Amino acid sequence: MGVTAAERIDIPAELSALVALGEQVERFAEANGLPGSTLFAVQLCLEEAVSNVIRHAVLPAGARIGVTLERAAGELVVSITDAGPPFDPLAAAAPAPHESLESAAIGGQGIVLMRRFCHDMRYQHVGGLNRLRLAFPLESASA
Amino acid sequence: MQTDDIGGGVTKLSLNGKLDIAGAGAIDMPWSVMMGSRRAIVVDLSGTSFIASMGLRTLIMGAKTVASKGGKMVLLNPNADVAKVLEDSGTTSIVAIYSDLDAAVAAVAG
Repeated sequence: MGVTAAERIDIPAELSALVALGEQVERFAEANGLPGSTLFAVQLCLEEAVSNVIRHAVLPAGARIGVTLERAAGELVVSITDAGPPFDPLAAAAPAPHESLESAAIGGQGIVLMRRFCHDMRYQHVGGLNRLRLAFPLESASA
Repeated sequence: MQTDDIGGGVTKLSLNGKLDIAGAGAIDMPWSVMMGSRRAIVVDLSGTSFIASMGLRTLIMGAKTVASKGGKMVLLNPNADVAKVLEDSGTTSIVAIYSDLDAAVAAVAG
């Protein structure tokens, strides 16, 4: 079976755009009857992935980030594309585990959380674009 | 963010809504003031619907600040999704989570 619902969302490469993105994702989840835990996982991975692009990539002024949501049989696929220099977030080293509250480093948990909350992550640099593909399992294709 | 002084020098802070980048930014100043001025804090997460790494940063920075002044901060009653974020990120290894208010109060007041 192919894609049964798809939405393309284009946002400016600014952290403030995450709020509107989150609202659009919520509407997509509602329209497609996605479970709350799937919506949570998607929102978490999107916040981490998009903020990662905004903070780490040198993007041209006025750059935009594309987010595509595709619902197919058994899974929801979320793709994030940007035109920044090639950057593979999956190549980042995992942070050391916290040893004590006093010594705990702040940050670096984004990629760890993404690995836990989506069941498949793939990165490609293709046609001048970074493309991160995240897949989330869905129990059934029916809404 | 709602603040309740619940006796015994213990402050309960309730974080309601999303602790996303916008939510964490919105409470930044009052949160820092509380963490810098109270010594026994229970952070009630029962009304927290979402958290990602920026929200974790808020919680861990707060716990560090309280501990640096000889106090203690613990977390109370996150929902299942929020609890998974706290566990998978290793946050639970450095900040304790309680499901019972009395136990949380005893932990910070002790």
